[in-house]
Amino acid sequence: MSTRFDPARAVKFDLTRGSVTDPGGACVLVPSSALLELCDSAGAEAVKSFGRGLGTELGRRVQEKVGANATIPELVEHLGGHLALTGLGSLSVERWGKALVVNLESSPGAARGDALVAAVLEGAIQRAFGRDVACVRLHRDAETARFVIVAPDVSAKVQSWVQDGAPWGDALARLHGASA
Amino acid sequence: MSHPRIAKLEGLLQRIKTNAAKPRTVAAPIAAGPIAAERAAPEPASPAPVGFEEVDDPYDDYDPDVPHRAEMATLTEDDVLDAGDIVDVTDIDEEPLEVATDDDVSVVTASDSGDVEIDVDFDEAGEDTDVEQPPASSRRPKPAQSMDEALAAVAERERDVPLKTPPPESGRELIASELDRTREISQLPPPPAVDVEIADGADDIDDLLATEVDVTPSSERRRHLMPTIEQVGNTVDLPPSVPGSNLELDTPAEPTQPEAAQASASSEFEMDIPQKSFAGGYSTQLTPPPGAKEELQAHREREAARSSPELDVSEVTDTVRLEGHRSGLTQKMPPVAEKPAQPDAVTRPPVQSSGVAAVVHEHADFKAETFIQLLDASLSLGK
Repeated sequence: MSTRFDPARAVKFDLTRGSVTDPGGACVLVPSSALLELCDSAGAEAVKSFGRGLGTELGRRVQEKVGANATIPELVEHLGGHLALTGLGSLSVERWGKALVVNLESSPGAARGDALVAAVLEGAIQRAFGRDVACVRLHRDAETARFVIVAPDVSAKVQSWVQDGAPWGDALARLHGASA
Repeated sequence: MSHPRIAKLEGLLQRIKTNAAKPRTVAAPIAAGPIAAERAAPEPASPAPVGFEEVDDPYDDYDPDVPHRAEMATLTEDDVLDAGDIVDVTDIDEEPLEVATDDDVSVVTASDSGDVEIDVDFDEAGEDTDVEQPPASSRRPKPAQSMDEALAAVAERERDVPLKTPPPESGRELIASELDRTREISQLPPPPAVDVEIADGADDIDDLLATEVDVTPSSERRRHLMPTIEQVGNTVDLPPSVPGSNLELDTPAEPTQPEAAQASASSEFEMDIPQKSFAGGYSTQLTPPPGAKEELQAHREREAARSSPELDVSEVTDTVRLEGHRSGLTQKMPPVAEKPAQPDAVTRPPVQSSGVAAVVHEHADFKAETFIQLLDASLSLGK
């Protein structure tokens, strides 16, 4: 099954009623800066909960389109389509050995919004594929944030490596070595 | 000079002689009276020369009752020095001579003897005359003792150039051009003596005095500024150049070697420089320095050691170059700088066995068909 992501009529603007609707229902157009200020003031757990809720909805849509046996390109197309429609950036997937690495370009707020984006990815994957995952940021530059998808109990270890200054390639090698 | 003036001078001279012939009573020295003694008392033993300001007029203390005045020698009227008796030859004029007044008479008293000498100053007598008075610094002319001296003095005065002597302290300042001309003239050779042409028949002193002498040396100086006849005579007039002619210079021929050797050996204190023909040669009579044989033998041994077949290319090149030096050949070897610099690279020989390293392709067989497979593999990492 190969379906393309079709964003036609995905978002409706009812100017008479003054409402905006997407496939998930009514929505509100909020400036990204205001959203990030809210996230900063809400705390890490609240942001993670908020992001997971948003990602769950996106995962549901992907699961409806591609199913659980979706290939990597299909997942990238549909999940990436919904993330782009939401305004959270452009999605791409890399495979480093057994490690699943997700890149997200032009995400709102850059490093300030990485926590929110990671929570969205965790919620979407969890909803679409039924796996409890953790999304850990390996590297960040001006345009792209690179995340690795690992088990929740391993995420703390990988995050410690990155905080200690280890290059993201080294962290991936350690991840493979630790599993060997 | 006119003849009436000479006649007047002769008349004056005759009068002088007449007065001189008269018997003259010498003024007796004033006797040293009480007043003189009183004056001498306070004065120092050896007073300094008295100036005009310090002179005490002896007539200021004149008292007719004083008896010593009667003892003074009386002078007759003839004995009184008449102003007309003393004639200044410079004061010759048509106007009658004026008698000196009392203001013109200055009295100088002798310090010790009390002698009174009366000196008559006639300097101011001729103020109204036309004759120029000599400056104060000039020497006062002596009165002529005879007619000949008077005539000679007049003639000498007439010849003085310039006639009007400027005072030495108030002369006209020389401007720069005159100074330059003065320096220029001073550097010139001394001009010849001015030849004064005297007309025939000028035997008389009057004719000599009347002769107009042109003593202006400008013409002579101008003539000395010009080149002399001798200098002009040495000048050689060159013919004008011919257009189109070429100047050819003949290069001197190089001296032959014997001539050069002879020229170099001209002095016994000079050492001959080896010529080109002796380049590379040496005298067989020279003795080698001490230790030269051992050093040469050691050098040959080093060369023999370098000529072994195990040497690399660079050493062989050096050996060839040394061989060329020793044999005296003129073979031109490439300079060292032309050879490209090559490092001494030590390369490891290739590994004979290919099974030294075993590459483990752990994930080479992993290929995820679906996203969930990749997800599960990734979730398995780190555990």
